[in-house]
Amino acid sequence: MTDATAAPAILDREDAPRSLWRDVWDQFRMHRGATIGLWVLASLLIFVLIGPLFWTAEPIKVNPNTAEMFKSRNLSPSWSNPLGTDQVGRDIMARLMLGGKVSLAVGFVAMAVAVFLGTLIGLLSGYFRRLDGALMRLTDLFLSLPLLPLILVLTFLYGPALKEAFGPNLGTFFILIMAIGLTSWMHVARIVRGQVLAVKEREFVLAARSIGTPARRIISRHILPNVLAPVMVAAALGVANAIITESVVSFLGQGFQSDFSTWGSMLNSAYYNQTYPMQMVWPGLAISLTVLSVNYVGDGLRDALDPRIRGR
Amino acid sequence: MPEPLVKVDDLKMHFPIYTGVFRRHTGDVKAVDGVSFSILPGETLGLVGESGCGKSTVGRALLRLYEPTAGRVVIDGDDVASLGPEALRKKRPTMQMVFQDPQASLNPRMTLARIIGEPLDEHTDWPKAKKLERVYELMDQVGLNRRFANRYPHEFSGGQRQRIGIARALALNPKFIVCDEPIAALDVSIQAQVVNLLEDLQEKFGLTYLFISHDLSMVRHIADRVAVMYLGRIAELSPRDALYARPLHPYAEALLSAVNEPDPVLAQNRKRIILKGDVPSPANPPQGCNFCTRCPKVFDRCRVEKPQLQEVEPGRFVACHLFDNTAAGSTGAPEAFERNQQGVTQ
Repeated sequence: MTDATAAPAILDREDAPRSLWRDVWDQFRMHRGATIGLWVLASLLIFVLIGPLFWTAEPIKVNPNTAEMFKSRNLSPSWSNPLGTDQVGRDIMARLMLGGKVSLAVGFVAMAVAVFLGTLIGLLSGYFRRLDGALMRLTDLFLSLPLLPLILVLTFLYGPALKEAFGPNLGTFFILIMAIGLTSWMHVARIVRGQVLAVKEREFVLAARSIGTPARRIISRHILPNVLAPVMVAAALGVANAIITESVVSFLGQGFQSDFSTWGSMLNSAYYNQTYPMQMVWPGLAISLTVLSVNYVGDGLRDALDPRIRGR
Repeated sequence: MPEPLVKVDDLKMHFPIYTGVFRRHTGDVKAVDGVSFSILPGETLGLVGESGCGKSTVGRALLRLYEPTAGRVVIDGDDVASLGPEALRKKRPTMQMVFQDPQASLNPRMTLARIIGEPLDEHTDWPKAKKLERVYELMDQVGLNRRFANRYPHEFSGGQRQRIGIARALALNPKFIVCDEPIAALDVSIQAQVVNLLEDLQEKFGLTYLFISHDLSMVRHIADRVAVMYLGRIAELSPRDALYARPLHPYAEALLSAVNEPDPVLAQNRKRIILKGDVPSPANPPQGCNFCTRCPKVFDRCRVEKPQLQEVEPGRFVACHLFDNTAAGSTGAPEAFERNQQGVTQ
């Protein structure tokens, strides 16, 4: 922000306005769970992004030599396959890395779409009374739709066009994040609307109006920061939800191709191979770790963004 | 007589009531029902009355924080009640407000420097350094240490928070400030500090205040003239000393009889006028005088005809039928009545 030279000489350096994000980061580091969550999340990202550079086993293609393939099926962990192999002899660690990249991307981007939509609709319907009725009925409409069939119809109708435009995997990725994002913003919208209704009656909003702050800046400066806490929690839960929805859609044949790996599809294929439960543990563990760490990071971020808790 | 800075003419603020399945408009809460007054430059007008009588609504409607139902509010030459949005925004710097609850009127997620600087962000295009310089200057003026600039509202005491609110109101050099019960949420010791600060600032910058309060002794201290409100209407508007020495309207009389007397000897002789019953609902006020249901001196005419605010003595305005005769110059009876009044209050 402003440098200290702007302030009169009697002020110390530390008394010049501090950066908000610096304060937030300082408080965030005080939150042990959040710090651990951030580390876990970072190591998961390193695992899926940098891991494949060092671990070059084939994640997708099945060995064309049928005899060798049969011999390498469902192996226990060993030095050559640290997490074992799956039911067609592919290395689980390599699949976990590739699948993680897709699952994390779908999870975070779909969550971002849903939270953005939900927050926008919640803010508008909470702040502008004229829009409230229409937007909330729209929310009710979406809530009353059977979501899974809707996602399937969306991917069925618009999937081919996108796949043609962006290639099969990227096309599927776009259609999935749009479909999941468009069908999971409603809860966020309702939570945000409720909070906005409470916050906009507080006197500081009236004070801002008496100053002459226009509505858009009242929303961005006074209301949004004060409704952020539940949005954080909803976002953290949204990531988990998106990862799991993606796996369901892929399982039902409208998502990624079945040989392409995502954590969700790995879970599903392991489910039909129950003699080897360890195959289910790895993707399950990865999803749980992601969800748990995102939750803790969200928790820490919420605390760090609240100046009343900050510095305690 | 100088031109008044603020001139309010028949201000009405009705809040609609919607009932039933179809949300039909079935009535109005007449929070403010035809209020007129004017404030001279540099003057402090006290606005007193019990809870729910519409004091705060008057203050807010004056600054167009509510859309008034009817009436004119001329502040420094412009009719605020009918300005367009952009003109109103341009007008905002001349009129500011200090709020009742210093905790609720400050955004908990903004630092003090940002709170005080918000008016500057909205109405000036100064560089950051100049804004910060102005924020520090304002903090000096209201007696806040410059070191507090980065702190958040929850780190301050009630009195300090109210100083922040005052600094924010002062940021754009307003001419007129509505003080909406600025001391009601504070400890008594802090109240004096804040009121003295307001007086100092008035002297320094030539500010004009509308001081809304239910604390009659504090209003006596700060106001030049006092308006007594009852159920959305002004009952009496008089110069301070005249009002406190000899209230004319029966409601003003009853209200002032409730002020505590610090001297125990005098307190023994104090006679309180205890009003019976409750304030009528502002959604369904009496047909005649709003005070007729509780007035100790009610007579028939009060129940059918609303009294208008009129000047009964130089500078003293009263809305009461008791004084109609005086104004019309009738003889004898009202004078005698007046003396009786004195007997009752002393």
